[in-house]
Amino acid sequence: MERRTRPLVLTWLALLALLALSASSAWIPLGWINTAIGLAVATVKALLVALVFMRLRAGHPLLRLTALAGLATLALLFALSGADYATRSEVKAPWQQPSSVAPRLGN
Amino acid sequence: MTSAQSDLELEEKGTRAGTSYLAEGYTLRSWLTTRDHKRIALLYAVSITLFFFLGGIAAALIRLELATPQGDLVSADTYNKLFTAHGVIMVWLFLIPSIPSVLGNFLMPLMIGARDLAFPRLNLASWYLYLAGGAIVLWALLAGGVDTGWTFYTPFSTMFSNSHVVLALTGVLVVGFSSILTGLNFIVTVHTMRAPGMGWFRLPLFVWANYATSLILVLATPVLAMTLVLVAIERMFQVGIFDPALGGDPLLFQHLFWFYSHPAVYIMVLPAMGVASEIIPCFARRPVFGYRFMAYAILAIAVIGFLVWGHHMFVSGQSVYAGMVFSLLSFMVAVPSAIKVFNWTATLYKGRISFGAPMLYALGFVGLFTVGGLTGLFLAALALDVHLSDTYFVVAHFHYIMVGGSVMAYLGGIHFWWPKVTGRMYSEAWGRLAAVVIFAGFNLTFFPQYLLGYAGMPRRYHSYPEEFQLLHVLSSAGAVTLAVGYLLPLGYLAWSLRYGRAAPANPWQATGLEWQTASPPPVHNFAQPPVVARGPYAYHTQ
Amino acid sequence: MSPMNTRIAEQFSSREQQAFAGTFGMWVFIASELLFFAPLLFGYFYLRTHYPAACAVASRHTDFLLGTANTAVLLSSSFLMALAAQAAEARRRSRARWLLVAVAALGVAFLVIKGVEYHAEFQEQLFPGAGFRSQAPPGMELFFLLYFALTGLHALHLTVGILVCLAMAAGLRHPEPQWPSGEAVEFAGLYWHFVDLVWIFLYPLVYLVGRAGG
Repeated sequence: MERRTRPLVLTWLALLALLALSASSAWIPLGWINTAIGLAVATVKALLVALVFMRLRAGHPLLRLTALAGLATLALLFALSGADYATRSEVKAPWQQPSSVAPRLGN
Repeated sequence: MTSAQSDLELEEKGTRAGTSYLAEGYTLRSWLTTRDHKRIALLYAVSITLFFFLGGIAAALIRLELATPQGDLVSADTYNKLFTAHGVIMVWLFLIPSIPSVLGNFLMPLMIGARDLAFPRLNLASWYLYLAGGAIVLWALLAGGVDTGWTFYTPFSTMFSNSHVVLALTGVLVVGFSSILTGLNFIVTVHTMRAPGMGWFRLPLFVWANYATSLILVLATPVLAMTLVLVAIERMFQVGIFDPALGGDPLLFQHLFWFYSHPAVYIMVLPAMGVASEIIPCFARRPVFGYRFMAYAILAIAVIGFLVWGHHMFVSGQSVYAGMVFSLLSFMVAVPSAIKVFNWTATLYKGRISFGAPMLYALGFVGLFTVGGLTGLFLAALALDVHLSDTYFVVAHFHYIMVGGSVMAYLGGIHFWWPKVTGRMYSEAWGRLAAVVIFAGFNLTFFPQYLLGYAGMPRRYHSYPEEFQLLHVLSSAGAVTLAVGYLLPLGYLAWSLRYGRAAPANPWQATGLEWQTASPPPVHNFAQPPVVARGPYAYHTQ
Repeated sequence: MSPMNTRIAEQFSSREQQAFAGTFGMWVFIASELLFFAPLLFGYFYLRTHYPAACAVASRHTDFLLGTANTAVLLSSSFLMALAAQAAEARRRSRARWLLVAVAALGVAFLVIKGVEYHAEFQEQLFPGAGFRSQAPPGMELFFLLYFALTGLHALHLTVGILVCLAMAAGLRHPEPQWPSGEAVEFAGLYWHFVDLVWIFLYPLVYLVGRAGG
């Protein structure tokens, strides 16, 4: 039994090590790199859980395809909605009662 | 040759392949606790028919109000509640479950040579969830209704509506889970339970269509569910991410809502395309033209359908650049649909065409879907949409697809498989009459609405300027005709259950495994598991 | 390896078909669950890109130690769940049973810790609504709305998982072919790991924003 549990034990230890990494690096001021590290570590942890604990690596390709389909759909939502938010031109104005604002034509 | 043909031989020799699924238990309990996909299909059929007529009553009241320019039948608030009820019921309680949960449930296992779906108990749970959701929606309506439109736009739904929004949202949420489970069941079934020899490219297009629909059901519906929860939270706790005063954005709701609701329209039309692809080759006695392209087009519609939702938001304040991207993608989604229309037409070439009721519905589907689809291109063009958005042009467009397309295909499928499901033949004369009345009534109802919309008549208004009245009266007259047409099948189909001629196993001489077993089928579908050695649509030409 | 006395449901033609259908079905369900969390995750993405400073202020009000501890708890529970699935597959039902009880116990520990956090957050007027603390930068209340929605939904899923583990542990007292089969434990494991996956991403998004004062 020990031979088969060894990959699981190693994965668990790796997960805890990665947790320590992201938890500790958060306290070092690195700007946007903090976020990048946090998400990168989360991604690696997720891959370990999915590929080892959930046996995606050894399983039928259809299962990996299913996981990818879910992720791809999520990515679509983020990408196209994000495209709207990224390209909107906002003209910030203080809050005014609608009746007091004269209509403006054009931009 | 399939070994399932021995079922017919056995039957002819008088050896039963097993009791018909209808005769296996006559008690109410045997129906309400069934795990048989065929019985569950009938449970759905009865429930969605009830909701169809309920939604139809709302439509009748709408058309009655709109026959005169003044808002004199109902108040504006009541009118809002009527079109909301009509939309919510017709979309979620009728159209989305119709073909998949009735025809799909019944036929999918038969068409792939399986004994049932992968998860029969989950299938029954889907129906109970559907009933529960439907009951909650009914409760919302009886308690006073909802006035937000079926689209529940914020901030009206979250902050200003005084109607039973949360209750209605809960009902839709529950029905949504029902459809997710059905989609899951279909996907697993098609992947894992095909009969030996039934490769993907030997599957009937009806199976492909319901499979693609199931992908959308599983991936898109959960987004709607959570979005509705967020609306409920904002409504109940006065805090939400759709509230600009807190830093939120009302358009966030629209992105999340349409991310589901655009693919939802493909949930409504893909199964209809699957039905047409079964009927047309049979009644033209020709194999479907371009089978592989038809299958790929189904998948393409499902995938590209996820990329176009922003075309519902062109005038909402969405960025113009995003609008351009969505517009381009919306044009692209028309391509696989057009390929399908060309292929259905090409299937007819040099065929021996007969005009039974199913074929009338199928041909009507192709024509009306084409008109609806073309007008979709009008709306996909940014500049035109500025003028046409929120007018009756949009209303006409989606009714051409959902009613002229999906409902006609559903009726065509009901007629086509009626002998298989019930073991009875319906009256061809009445069937054809109803199809023609429906086609005529449909066009009279909805074609004037294109003209109204183009002339500027806004949607969701119950009063309008005098000059629009003629077109509205034509439309309302059409609605009366359409109503008559929809009531006819209730009559002659019910009549056939008692007095119709007993149906043979294959009355249409159609290909497909479902026709290789008795009408109605035995409980476990086939006496022996079929082995498939041929492609689909092996209609011989003379 | 495959036990001969596990029942095959009548719609399936072989044990392999039944097992694969179950595994595949659970993965399809997991994909749908990911999309169920999607609007909340996109809401977070919207908020973080529009109000980054407010998100940092808000995140600094979450309990770093308890959140990190909880992550370790959940990762460890996934490890034990993987062991449990392995044991059940090898027909070591007693070992699987105790492992599942341990998984459930860690799950309960997670909920307790979460409850402590929630309690503190209520006390600090961080629960969105009429009682939310004043003088908060715009966007902070929405951060906490998403925090409670995401972690609450996660906790709901976790609770279901705990109940399933306990039910399976009870069933494993009886020998095969009684429920659960080895496959059933594997399916529960897939669900549990998915709940862990969600938390793996929630952790940096909730607890690690602006910790260095950025």
